[in-house]
This record gives sequence, C-alpha cells and structure tokens, in this order.
Amino acid sequence: MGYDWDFRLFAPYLHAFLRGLWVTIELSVISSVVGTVLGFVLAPALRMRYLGPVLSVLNDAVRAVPVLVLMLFFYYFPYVQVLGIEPPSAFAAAAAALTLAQINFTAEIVRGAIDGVSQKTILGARSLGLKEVTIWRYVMIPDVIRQVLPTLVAFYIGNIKLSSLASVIGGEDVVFVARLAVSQTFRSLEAWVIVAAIYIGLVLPLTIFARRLERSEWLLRRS
Amino acid sequence: MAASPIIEPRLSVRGLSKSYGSARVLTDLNFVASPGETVAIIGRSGSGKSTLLRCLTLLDLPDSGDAYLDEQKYVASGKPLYQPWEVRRNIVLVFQDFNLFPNMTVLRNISLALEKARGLSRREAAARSEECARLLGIDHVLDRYPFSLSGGQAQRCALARAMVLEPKVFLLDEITSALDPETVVNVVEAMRGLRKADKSGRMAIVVVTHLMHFAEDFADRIAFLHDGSIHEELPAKQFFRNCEKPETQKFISAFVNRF
Repeated sequence: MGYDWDFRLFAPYLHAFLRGLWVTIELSVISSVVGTVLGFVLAPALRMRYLGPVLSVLNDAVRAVPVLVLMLFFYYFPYVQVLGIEPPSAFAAAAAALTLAQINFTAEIVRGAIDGVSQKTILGARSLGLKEVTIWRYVMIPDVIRQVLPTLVAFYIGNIKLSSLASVIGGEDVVFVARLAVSQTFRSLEAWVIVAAIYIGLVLPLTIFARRLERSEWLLRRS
Repeated sequence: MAASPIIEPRLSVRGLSKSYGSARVLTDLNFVASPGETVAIIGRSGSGKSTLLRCLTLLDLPDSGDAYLDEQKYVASGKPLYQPWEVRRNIVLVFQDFNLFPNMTVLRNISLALEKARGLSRREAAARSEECARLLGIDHVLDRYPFSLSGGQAQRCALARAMVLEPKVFLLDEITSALDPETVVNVVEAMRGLRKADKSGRMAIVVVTHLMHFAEDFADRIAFLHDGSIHEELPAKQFFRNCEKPETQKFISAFVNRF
C-alpha cells in the first residue's frame, strides 16, 4: 500500500490552472460587488408600502432556489426561441446566477439592518434639524454597513466556493481545469489537492479579515 | 432673568391638543416662554410632558392648536406651516437617552448639524464645536466614540451638539433621568453652562424634569402639567411655597415633606 505522489505531471497545466484561478476570482468578485450594490438598491424597495411585500415574496422565492439550479436555468434557457437573442456564455450564466443570489441575500439583510437602526439615533438626528437625506447619508447608511458587513463577508467567502458550480455548465474555473487535467493524466488526488490549496489561498485571508472585523472597535460604533 | 409680560414671547402655544388613539394626552394646552427665560415643566409620568416637547419640534403632530416662534406662527390648527427640519433648526430637543450618532466622534457629533444644517465650513464648524465642548467640559473626549463615553459625558455631548446650533428655544426632556446621582450633578452643572454659553441672552430653555431642587434653583418659572394642560405655574422661587391648587400640592407634597 502507498500512494506515489507525482505533481510533476501537472506542470504543463500550470498556465491552465492560473487561467482557471482568474475565472474563479472574476466570478467571485463580480457576483460579490455587483450583487452587493444591487442588493443595497433593492433593500429600500422591499420596505415600500405596496411594492415591498410583492418584491419580498419574489426575493424569498428566488432565494429558495439553489445557485446551481439558477445557473442551469440561465445557461439552458431557450434564449433564441423565447427572446430572439444569442445565449450567454457559461461564464456569463454563472456570473448572473451568483450575482442574483448575492442580490437576494444582500437585500434581505440590508432590509433588516435598515429596520435595525436605532429609532433613538434617528430621532436625535431629526431633533437637530437635519434633513432625511442627510440622516441617511451620515447616520443610517454607516450604521447599516456596520450591521451587515460581517454577514456580507461570509457571503463573499461563500461566493468563492459556489463559483466552482460554474464548471458544471462549462465555466472554465479551477475545478473545470482540474477535471480536464484528471481526465488526461488519470491522477485525481494531486489535481484536487491543487484545487483545494487554491481555494484555501483565496478564502483564508478573507476568513482572517472576517475574524479581525468581528473583534474590531469599528464595529462597536453602531446603534 | 425673570419673565416680563411686555416682552414678546419667544415660544408660545395656544390650544394645543393631542391624542394617541383614544388616549387624550394634551388638552387645550397654553404655554409661553419668553426670550432668555428658563421654564421647568414638572408633572407625573405620562402627564404629557414629553408629548408637548415632541409636538413643539414636530416630531409628533398635534391634533389641533397653534404654535408660534417669535410671534411667527409655525403650527396652525395642528398643521405645520414649515418643513419639520426648518423648525428644528430653531427649536432643538435633547433627550433622556442622549441619542448620539454612534458612528461619529464626539467632535463630529457636535459639528455635523452645524455643517449640514447651518452650512458652516468644516473647519469653522469644528472650531465652534471645540469651543462649545470646552464650555461643557468634554473637550478632552472629542476624539472618542459614543460607545466609550460615560453617561455624563454622553449627555454633555448631546447638550453641546444642540447648544452649538445656538437655537432660539432649547428643549430638554428629562435629560438626567438615565443617569446615576453623581452624574446628575455633573450634567446639571453643564445645564448651567448652557446659560453662560448663550451669547444672545435670548435663548428660551424649557426643561422637563423630576429634579425639584434643580427646577426651583435653575428655572425662572415652574409649570405643573396635569391632565394634559398647564395646571398651575408660578415663579420658581415661589412655586413650592405658594402653589394653591390641590392637585399641585398633592404632587409636590412628597417632595416638600421630605425636604
């Protein structure tokens, strides 16, 4: 018994792995950034009197769907027949699914955070003659960001890992490259060790950041 | 600085009423504060003291009644005639629980409204804020954040934040009620500082308080709020000896008998 490790076989794939790494990074960053921005935009709409409940139900429904299913939906949707447009690339479909999921979650937690801003703090701001827009800009939004940031960082870590699902529809991320390398070298253990190392390298700094954030004094400056 | 009947009132309220659902809180209330005058409002918990202050600053809207600032009507039959923020730039309210901005330093807490509501430059706002902080004895905590302040420091910060705006009317809503006795002394001192900081000498102060000694000593006039309106009011120094109505005497009896 014993396993003969051989990473040299993967030397020719170095370039492919780097490209895959870049795709993984792109998918994670695009979905995290765009999803967060759009989620912040959607959150106030969820609190609107009539539109809010409708949007909330929609948001909850989409949130119930696994990201993989969203990806398959976006990728295999009959674009030409229904919309008369060219179907998107696997990368675009994966990015759209991840972004949508991030929008859902961001909107939900931001909505809760807006409601969570202390009414006393808002009252204090009003009593000084500040306009509502000023209160949002200088008091509400900073407080909301403090409330949601730790949760958002957890989602960003999740996005890095979820981006591996793109390989299912042909997105050329690190997992896709590993599967390709395994099929050609017939060595799977080394390939997946490499992939695991890449994810550890991506996620660990964020985990450390998240832990520092949790303990930071900056977080205490909230209502 | 006693009230003179000839001076036009700084703040006046006529026939103010306010209900929450079926609960009538204020009933046809009339109230006047003159320039430079300090009025203490006393009364039982739930007698409508806070509601009155909230209506005066349009944080709550009265159901009916008029309110005037320097003879200028700003509430007519319960309807505001100005944007709430326009009114609150002249009539500021400080709360029991400080209500500071948690994400800002003490300095920024004080200077923000100067800058954003009064349009001062950042530097000018900071300079005035520092001066005001010095008057209230919190100039050593200007860089700190609210979470790290003691109750007394936080309340003095709240006072400075309002005072720096040089309001025409300064409303204080039981601002010592959340503090321990030692800190109360400290904040009461700061309130005396407000008078010194009022360069115009025309700022009216209306203070809702449960501190009877403080009311007697600090205010020019004491008004007893009962059943939703001002039941009895007298110059502060005479109030506890000369009040005549049975409800007033009953309310203050605990205080008078003990001291």
